[in-house]
Amino acid sequence: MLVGCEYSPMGENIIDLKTPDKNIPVAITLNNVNPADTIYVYQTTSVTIQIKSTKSLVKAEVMLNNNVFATISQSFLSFDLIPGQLADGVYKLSVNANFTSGTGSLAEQMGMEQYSGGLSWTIRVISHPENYFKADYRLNKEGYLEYYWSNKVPPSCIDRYEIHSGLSQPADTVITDPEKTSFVDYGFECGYTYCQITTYLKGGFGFTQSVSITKPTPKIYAEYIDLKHFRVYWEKSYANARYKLTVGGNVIATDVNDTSYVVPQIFGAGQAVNVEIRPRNKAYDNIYNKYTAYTNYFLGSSLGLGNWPLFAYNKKDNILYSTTYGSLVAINATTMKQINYMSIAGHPWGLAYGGKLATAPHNSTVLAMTGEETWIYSDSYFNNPLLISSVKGDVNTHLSALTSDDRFFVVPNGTSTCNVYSSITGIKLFDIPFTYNTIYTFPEFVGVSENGQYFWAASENGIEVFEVIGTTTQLIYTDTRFYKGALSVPSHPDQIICRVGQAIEHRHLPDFSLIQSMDVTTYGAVLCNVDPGTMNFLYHQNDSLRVCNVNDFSKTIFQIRSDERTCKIYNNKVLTFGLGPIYIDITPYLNNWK
Amino acid sequence: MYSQGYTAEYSIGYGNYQLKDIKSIQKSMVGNYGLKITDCFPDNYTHTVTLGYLTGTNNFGFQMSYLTTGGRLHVADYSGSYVTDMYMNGYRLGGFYRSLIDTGLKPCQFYLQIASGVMISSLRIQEKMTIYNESQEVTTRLSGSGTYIEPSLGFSFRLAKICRLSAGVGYEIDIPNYMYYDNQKTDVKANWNGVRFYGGLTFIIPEKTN
Repeated sequence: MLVGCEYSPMGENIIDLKTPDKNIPVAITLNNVNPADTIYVYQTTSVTIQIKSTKSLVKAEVMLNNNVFATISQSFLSFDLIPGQLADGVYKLSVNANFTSGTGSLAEQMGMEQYSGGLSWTIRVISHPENYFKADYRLNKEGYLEYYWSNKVPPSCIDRYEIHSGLSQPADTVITDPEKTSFVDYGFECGYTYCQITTYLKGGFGFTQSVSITKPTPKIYAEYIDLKHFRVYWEKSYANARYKLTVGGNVIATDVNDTSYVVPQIFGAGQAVNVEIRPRNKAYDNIYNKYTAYTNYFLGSSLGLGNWPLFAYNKKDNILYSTTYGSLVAINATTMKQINYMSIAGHPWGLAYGGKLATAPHNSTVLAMTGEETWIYSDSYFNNPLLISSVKGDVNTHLSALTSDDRFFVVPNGTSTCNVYSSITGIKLFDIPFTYNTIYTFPEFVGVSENGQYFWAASENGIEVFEVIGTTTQLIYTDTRFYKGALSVPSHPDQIICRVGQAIEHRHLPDFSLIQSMDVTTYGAVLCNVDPGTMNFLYHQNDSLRVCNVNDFSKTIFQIRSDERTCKIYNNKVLTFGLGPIYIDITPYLNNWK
Repeated sequence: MYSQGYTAEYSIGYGNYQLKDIKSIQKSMVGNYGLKITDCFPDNYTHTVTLGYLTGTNNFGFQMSYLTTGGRLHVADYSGSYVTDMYMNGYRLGGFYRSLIDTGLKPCQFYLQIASGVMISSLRIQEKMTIYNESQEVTTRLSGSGTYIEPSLGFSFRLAKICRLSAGVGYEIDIPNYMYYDNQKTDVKANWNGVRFYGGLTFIIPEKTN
């Protein structure tokens, strides 16, 4: 009953207010960065947030990944983003601001009538940008070395790059376009180089990556094409280069890009072949980017003997005798494989400083003259030698020959006497004095026929031909022409080949009548020898070694370019006397050498 | 006229209420969110019931009164409204003594009365906030007690043998204690001091007739 009597308060206070606008202009700025852009934080970065609006700011919250870390009650806020305090990663920095409506309404006073607005920026924290700086190299499309790199920091944060490549670049390079992330090194073609690439961020912080490159110097090769040509080729360098090819001291090509050249053959000596490799652009030449590839080439095959070997050929056994240092070597003249070996020591010279080798035309006897004595072996087994201790020889010994009548003819250097010994007993039988002594030891000026019947001594002053009768001699021919050599003809003891005047004469003994003659006026000629096995005659003319049958000087059956004038031919193997004895088997090329 | 008997009386009154502290509370809220006082504890009706014993010219017994008034603070705009209604109720429980004075002008009699007892006060403050579609209401209650004494004078007019019409005027003096909110003593006192006007009917059950 009393509740019904309770007083009820009354009265109203209604205020007529204008309702607020739907939207108001608001400006929120963060270091003037477009919200669409990513803010990269790689060092302590000051951030200033400014908020402007026509209405009063109630409160703004700054959130990092939706976690409030600052509140703005004024129109701005400044703070630092410190990489060390934030783990590397992507963050969302948001600013949400509330503004009064300005109407004074109850809702506004209660905080239930506000304008709200916000913006967010993506922040990427990279506390150690140097850890993400990667650099490497590659070949670009043009074939030059190209360094390239990448940063996690975007170009907008990068001030410049500096390139230092001391071995291939004349100076450091500064790249001011941060979008450019590669550099072409025109100064590198192969070998070793390095490059230091430094990224400088805006603000001065810089970090460097080094790239080292080691690329092999191209290998060079030489291969036989034919008797007149061989090919030199080499691998391309890693990056573009220019090449300079030198063969045998002669520059074949300079500043070329090709990697293969055909070069003329020359027999008789190994040819040093090298290619110099340099940057294609000469402006980048320096002492560091110059490389040379080497190889050696020779036509034919090596005998694997020491330098300056002596030769003698036994037709009966088809054995080629030679020397290597202090040893006598027997070689199968077909396979050219060594079949026996005998060291002949001396005091002090031995065979290492020996004179001549000789073989008998009718049996297996072989003779070797050392610096102290002469050794005569019955065969290639080199057993029970006959030692003639009184006869020594050297490279200037004019004649050392065994004849089918078991005699040993020797003409020591500087003498005008031929000493004749028994090759069986070693006993001296007689001497043959002669007049026309020569100062030359090459080619052969003094000789004896295979059967020991004829002995001759030629010189630039003339020739004397003796017939040996028993232990006596009889001068059967002499003249005073200018001789440049005189050879015996194997299997034809009654023939002699002379290089005399402007011709090569093939004469018959004892009448010294002319069998055939070849005029060599234009180029001259140097006699080598007649092959006992094939009767092919080897001589040197102009720039070539030439071979013809001893019975027909007019028809060259083999020719090869060579500067070697001291070659011999045995069983169709042309052998050099010079550096590193090599040989070429001419059998496949006979009559097919052109 | 009955010289002895039991009496029961109901009177409706009208009075004003000092309620100084309560009004101060209301005033303190003025200005909050634009609140203004639209109703401030006005004079209002009272209801009184007495049960007594009459003997001669003396009438005494028990008395219970109910006093009620209130106040309002209000503000409203397009966005909503905020109203604070304050309901102030008082319950008096006590005794009275009335001395009847024969005026010689039958059937009228004057009387002098003194009443005293316990005054129990309650204040209920109901705050309601409505913003757009959301509203929230909070009610706060304070209560307290004290003593009162009210001297008054009046006259009665005999309508029948057992029924008299009476009217009077008095003044209530309160000696209030502090009110309590949630068992916590406050600084507020409910002081109902004020003038009272009464008018009512008295029923008499005679015990003995002269």
